[in-house]
Amino acid sequence: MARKRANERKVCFDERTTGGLAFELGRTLGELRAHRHCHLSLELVRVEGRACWDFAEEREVVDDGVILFFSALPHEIVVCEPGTRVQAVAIPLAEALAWADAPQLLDRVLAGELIRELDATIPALVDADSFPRWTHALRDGDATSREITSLEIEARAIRLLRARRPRPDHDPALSRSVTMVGVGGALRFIALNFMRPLTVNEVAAEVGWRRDHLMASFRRTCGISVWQFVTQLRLSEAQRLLGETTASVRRISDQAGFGSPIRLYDAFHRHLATTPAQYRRAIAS
Amino acid sequence: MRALLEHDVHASPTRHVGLSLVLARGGAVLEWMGDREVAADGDVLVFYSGYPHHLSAADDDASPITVRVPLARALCSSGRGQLGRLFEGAVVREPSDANRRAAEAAGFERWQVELSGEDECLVRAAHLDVEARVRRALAACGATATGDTERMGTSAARSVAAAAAYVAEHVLEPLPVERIARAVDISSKTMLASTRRAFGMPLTQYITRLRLAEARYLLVSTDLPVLAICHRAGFSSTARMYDAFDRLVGTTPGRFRRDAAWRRSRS
Repeated sequence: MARKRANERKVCFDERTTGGLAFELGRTLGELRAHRHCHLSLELVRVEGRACWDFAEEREVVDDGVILFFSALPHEIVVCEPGTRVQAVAIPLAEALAWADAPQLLDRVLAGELIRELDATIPALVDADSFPRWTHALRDGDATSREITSLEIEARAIRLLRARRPRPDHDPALSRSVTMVGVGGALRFIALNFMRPLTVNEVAAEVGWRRDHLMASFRRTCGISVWQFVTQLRLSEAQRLLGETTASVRRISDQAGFGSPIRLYDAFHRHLATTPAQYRRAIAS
Repeated sequence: MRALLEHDVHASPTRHVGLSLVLARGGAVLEWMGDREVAADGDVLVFYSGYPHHLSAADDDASPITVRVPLARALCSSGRGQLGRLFEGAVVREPSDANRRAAEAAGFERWQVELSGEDECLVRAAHLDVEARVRRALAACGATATGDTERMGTSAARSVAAAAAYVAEHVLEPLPVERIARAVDISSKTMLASTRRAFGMPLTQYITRLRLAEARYLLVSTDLPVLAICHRAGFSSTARMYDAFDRLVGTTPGRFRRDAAWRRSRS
């Protein structure tokens, strides 16, 4: 893929709130590398104008509309045309997985597909009204308005997922590479099963690949190992539970899939340089 | 438990056990408890439609849209704690925002399509949006969660809705608690507890408020003597009606009728 680096402005979403639903603001920055978000989420993005995203293997062009994709895929946005507005809200994965019919609805987005909208299912003026309201409410709103906003965002995501269509210039069966299908399948399987004991062999069996092949492709596509991805999901789930519940650390280590408090402590120490209890206190204050 | 939609405007007072969410497109007039609530173009109204009411378009060009949320669904929602004042008979009116008017109308029209369609996913999306819209209107008008804010279980919400539907149908008859409980097929104790949780008041007070609303409606819209209205509204004696007026409206039926006529002549 030929990437035109010249005359492109990089925009990175880097302002996030912690816990719950996050919002992001488009900001023009210097050169930035592809990134993944530390909190796993689905990104619901409205584009007014034309914007391009570079994913691991493909470039996606979005003209005026709303898209949804899984933030675990390495991605960077490249705004192609001046005057383009991009508004995004992040839906924490744990929250999306709790929706009714989540497995069917989220199947393809978790498999790594960029979900686009059928033309004119929802009048553009409704989105133009709601997205700024959502980002505002998620940033500055109280608990009630955040709760109300999350209902509306869920409704919006459902409509998008029901009305999805293949990319205009591609046959969907051909456009998605074998690698992406396999790695996407692994991502989805892990995202739905990380709360229980899981082995790399099991993931490989799920996508029908050899273990070595999966590990190599996964690392090449996502930039991290399968096991790091599992740990990342468990960590963000544990962080969420520590912030939102009063459950004991032992219970959280079970619910987040760590299996034992020792592994939870180890992951916190290694990746966050803190302990679960300290993290909880820091969130609370 | 689907939310229903209505384009048409009612000719006679309606009762529907649930919440009404109205977009006053072009303006609307709501006859409510003997008073007249006038909504300007684009205003959003929310009220408990279990009380008798009559909604009409402000003029020939106006076309208000009503979305109804069945009581059981409203009670299952996480915003249940904010509903208390609606059960006490308040009409919440969120004034129209000129910048949002077109988007608001498009939203209501979309819910109409989705709620009358077959796609369960889209029905669900519309339900989420309607719930959010009701809660936003309540929040905009300063409704804060009061009392018991915990989400109600589906079965408890259903039995409360069934009890409310039974009460609405038999409000003119004597309604001992045991009779309602038998009709809904749960124990009196459970029913009293869950209706109190749902309405934020004892079941007997809810029934009294329902009869009061009926009486207020009749006092303003008819010339019937107070004694006749007392029976038509389901009060077993005039003493009970006077007592209810005194406690919950702070006036007497006769004075209420005179004051309402005076207010209407001015509007």
